[in-house]
Amino acid sequence: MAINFKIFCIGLTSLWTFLFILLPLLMIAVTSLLFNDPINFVEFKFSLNAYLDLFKHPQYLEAFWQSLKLSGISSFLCLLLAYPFAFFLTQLSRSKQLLCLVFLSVPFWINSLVRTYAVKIFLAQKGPLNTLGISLGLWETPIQFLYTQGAVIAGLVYILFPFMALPLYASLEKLDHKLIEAALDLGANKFWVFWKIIFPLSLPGIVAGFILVFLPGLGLFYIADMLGGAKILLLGNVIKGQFFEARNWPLGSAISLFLILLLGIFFLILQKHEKRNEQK
Amino acid sequence: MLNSKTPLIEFRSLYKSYGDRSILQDFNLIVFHGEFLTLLGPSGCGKTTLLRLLAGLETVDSGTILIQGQDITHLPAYQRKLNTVFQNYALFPHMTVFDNVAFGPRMKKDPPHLIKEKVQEALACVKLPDYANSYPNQLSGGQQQRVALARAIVNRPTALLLDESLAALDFNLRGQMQYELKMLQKTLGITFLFVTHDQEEALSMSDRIVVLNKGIIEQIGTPKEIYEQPLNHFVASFVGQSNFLKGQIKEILPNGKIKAEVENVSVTLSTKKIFNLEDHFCVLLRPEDLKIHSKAPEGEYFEGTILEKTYKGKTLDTLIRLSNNKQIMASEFFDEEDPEFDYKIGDKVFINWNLNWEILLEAIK
Repeated sequence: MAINFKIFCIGLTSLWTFLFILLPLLMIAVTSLLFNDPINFVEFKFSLNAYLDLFKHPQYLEAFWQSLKLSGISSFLCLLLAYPFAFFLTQLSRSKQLLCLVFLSVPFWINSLVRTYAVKIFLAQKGPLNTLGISLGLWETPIQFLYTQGAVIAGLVYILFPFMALPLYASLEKLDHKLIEAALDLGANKFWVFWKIIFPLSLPGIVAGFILVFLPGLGLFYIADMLGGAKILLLGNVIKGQFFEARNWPLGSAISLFLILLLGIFFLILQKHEKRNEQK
Repeated sequence: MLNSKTPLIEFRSLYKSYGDRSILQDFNLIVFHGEFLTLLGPSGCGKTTLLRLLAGLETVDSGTILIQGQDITHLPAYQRKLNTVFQNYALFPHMTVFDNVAFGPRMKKDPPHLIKEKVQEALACVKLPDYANSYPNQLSGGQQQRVALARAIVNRPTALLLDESLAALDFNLRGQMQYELKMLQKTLGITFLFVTHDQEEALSMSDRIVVLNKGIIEQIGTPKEIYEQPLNHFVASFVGQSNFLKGQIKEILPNGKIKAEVENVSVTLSTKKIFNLEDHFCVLLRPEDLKIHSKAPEGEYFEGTILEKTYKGKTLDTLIRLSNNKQIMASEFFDEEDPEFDYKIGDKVFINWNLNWEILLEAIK
């Protein structure tokens, strides 16, 4: 009975994963190896054209680079903002911590598309940010915030901040305070306590946060669409464009697969590194 | 012996409270150079707080702490030349044993070759020379304890503070570590300030014991003094097992002897304390000082019946009910002459004690 229930639970999830994740992925892999046919989507003949296109046209690789860069910068900014936040959060009383965590989760109640619109309005020429800046005398004529790289980064940071803050909080929260005391006792001042004890012990949280922010950061095409205009392209935009506008499914699939491959290598390195740490 | 009477650490009228809960009030204590001093008391007596104040991990409300005559009350923890062995060791889990022990010297910015030398010496001191490249989670509890010790002594602190440091070890290991700690202290000549609630540990390791209760010093003395001449009821009951019998002075005899009625039996007792006629008092008799006889012995004795017996390996512990229903505990060693001695529950017995080993205390309120 109990074993059957176990098999049922695992089986259900496995089936789900197979049908809706693995199978589509396989379909994409197959599609990327077919001929492009704008009318029937694909022609069922083997071809490496899509991959050749990908490497022949520099704009795709540039989109890769730009996307990785924007997402990387956003992740780093998220880390810079979230680390002190999470650290000081752990120093509050239990009830205040809970309150802050609730506040942190409030944005999840609103669709992120709606929130991105809010950012767009906030950054607009006649939006609150310009109005505020001008009325405070910080600048005189409205600044073009929208449709810049900065706007895309701001949008990504704003949407993804909780995904960095939560794993950081989780790892800092379980840090044994005795270790900090031991370091102080052994002659470490606050800087060394942070650098030698707190930071290394929160690394798992940093890695987890980075993954949770960096990956979505590559694909949140609507943020680039709305805040970056047509100029700033994330990989998500390129892929979406190939499927819906250029109707080049094999190329879209090839770009997707190439991205997955790149990230796969990245994770493999990370995991190897972590395993080595564990073995030590 | 001049060294042993040089004050090293002085607590002067220390006050500390958490919220409205007062931990220490007007606390004064001098720790001498090179001694093994134990702070002994039940949990919540303020002993750990005292250690943390000394280490700089807590701040005093008022009062001063001096080390070698220098006021360190407001010195941050990392500038104090004291090191602590924490209760659960607090080893850095992401560092090897070497890096753990090297932490202190590195913070002092010692050159690498000196650090290596110091670490190897410290690890040799705690008999763990081959574990430098292991991580703490790969070590047993006893080994972790040694690493924590090595980490704390590597910089040769003015004093080593040990916060219930052996509490997490199992019985056999604890005994061994007690011995090794004591030897280490002798070799290093460092002052050890040890905090424990375990009276046996305190008795076996210390040069002096400070018995604390609710932030107040109940008694300071050598282990022998604490055990054999407890000043009051608290010390007597906290250190060792005790029988307390109620009595009243009936006659004062010369040579420090008194005649008294104890638990309805008339007995002669000796004491150095001054009592008045009709004073109520309390007699402390340690279970191991009591002797049980099946026939009435010579001299004075109590009568009772065996209520319960417990085989303890080395001793046979018996609970005896006296004729006035008072219950006392006796603890007798098995000896060569009569290894088979035993009692039946309900046996009528006669109890006397090693003469002059009784301790008279003020009456229990």
